[in-house]
Amino acid sequence: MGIAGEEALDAVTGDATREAFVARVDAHGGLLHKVARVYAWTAADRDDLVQDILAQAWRAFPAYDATRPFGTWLYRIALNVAISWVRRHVPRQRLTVPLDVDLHDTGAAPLETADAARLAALTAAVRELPPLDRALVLLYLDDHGHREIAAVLGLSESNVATKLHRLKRRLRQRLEAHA
Amino acid sequence: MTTSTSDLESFKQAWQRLDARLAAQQALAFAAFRDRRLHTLRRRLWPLYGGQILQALFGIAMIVLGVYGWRRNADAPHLVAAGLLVQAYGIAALASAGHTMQRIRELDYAAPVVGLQRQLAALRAWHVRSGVWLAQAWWFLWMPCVMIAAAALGVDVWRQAPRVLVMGTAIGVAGVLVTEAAARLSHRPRWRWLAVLNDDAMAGASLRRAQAVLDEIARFEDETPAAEV
Repeated sequence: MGIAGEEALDAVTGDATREAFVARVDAHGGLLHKVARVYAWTAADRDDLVQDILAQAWRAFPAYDATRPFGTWLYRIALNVAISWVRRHVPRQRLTVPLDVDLHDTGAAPLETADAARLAALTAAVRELPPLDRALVLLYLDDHGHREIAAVLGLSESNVATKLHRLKRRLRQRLEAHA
Repeated sequence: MTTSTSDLESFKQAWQRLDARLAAQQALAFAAFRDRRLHTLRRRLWPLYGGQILQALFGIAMIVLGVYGWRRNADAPHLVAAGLLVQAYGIAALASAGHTMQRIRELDYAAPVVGLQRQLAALRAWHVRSGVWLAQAWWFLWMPCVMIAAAALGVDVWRQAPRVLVMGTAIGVAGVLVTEAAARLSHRPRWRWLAVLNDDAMAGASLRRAQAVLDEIARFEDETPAAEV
């Protein structure tokens, strides 16, 4: 189906489908924004990336198998879009000074000082990793098990365990360097 | 400050506490769904196809020019050959765009990350390579195009100005040889400066980036300790 055909499908797609999609994505809290946070540096870029993720997710939604976990499905799409996005925007990001999101993002209540400091250091450390390693660390930080990380990334569980061990060591070193 | 395993755990917990804070931002992201402006979301995917659509249109234009060339000049074998060459190029450009669009359409963003990223990098490499081939052809293709255009104006370049074609062919051969030689030499440290010219002229940088991504994915998949990146 071409894009015009897909737009026609949007026109006839019922409110129920749209609501079901929004509800499912919404149930995964800040997943999209967390992904955007480690792949895009400015607030405008993060919003742009979140919209790109939503566009791909909405496109793929008709093929979503409801017997499988929605979180894994959404994480795959979010990471695939984010990694593609970062590969396209690397030259621009190199010229951009990242904002401290906790100081500049609006709307939400301020974080505790200790949390804000930890998050700033953590985000900076994660952003220094290559895009695929960033995906692995992101899943680890969100407390996903080795099996689920392996399913999202398409690696074996043993590979995930090995990589994670090394990445945690590396992350600790970077956090010390940022301190 | 030293960061122990337990400290890393506290960083992890701080990260997870972000959820509530980010949920408010996420609500704003659904504006397109609330306002039924889903077409604005769909249009975000268009740039993936934009370049291919332009290439396909260009291919069709070349096919039309080629067919016009050989049908209008059926009694002149050299113009028939020129028309067929241009038509063949148009078909190649159209087929390349169609193939790329098909591969883009087949991309499944819900597939495991490593597999899809490998597909994307391979697609990028194919796209750059086919672009280079289609661009290189113009060292020679301008001649049949000029022959057809001139024939429409009543001028037979083949008979009236054969020197143009002889020189054009010589320049084309030299151009291809020089570009190829530059591409090979630019890999050597002494000839590094050629790489800049080569990158600009032949999308060498894009190809190298695509290959670098494929290498990065291969390293990421490798389970051996030596694969640490």
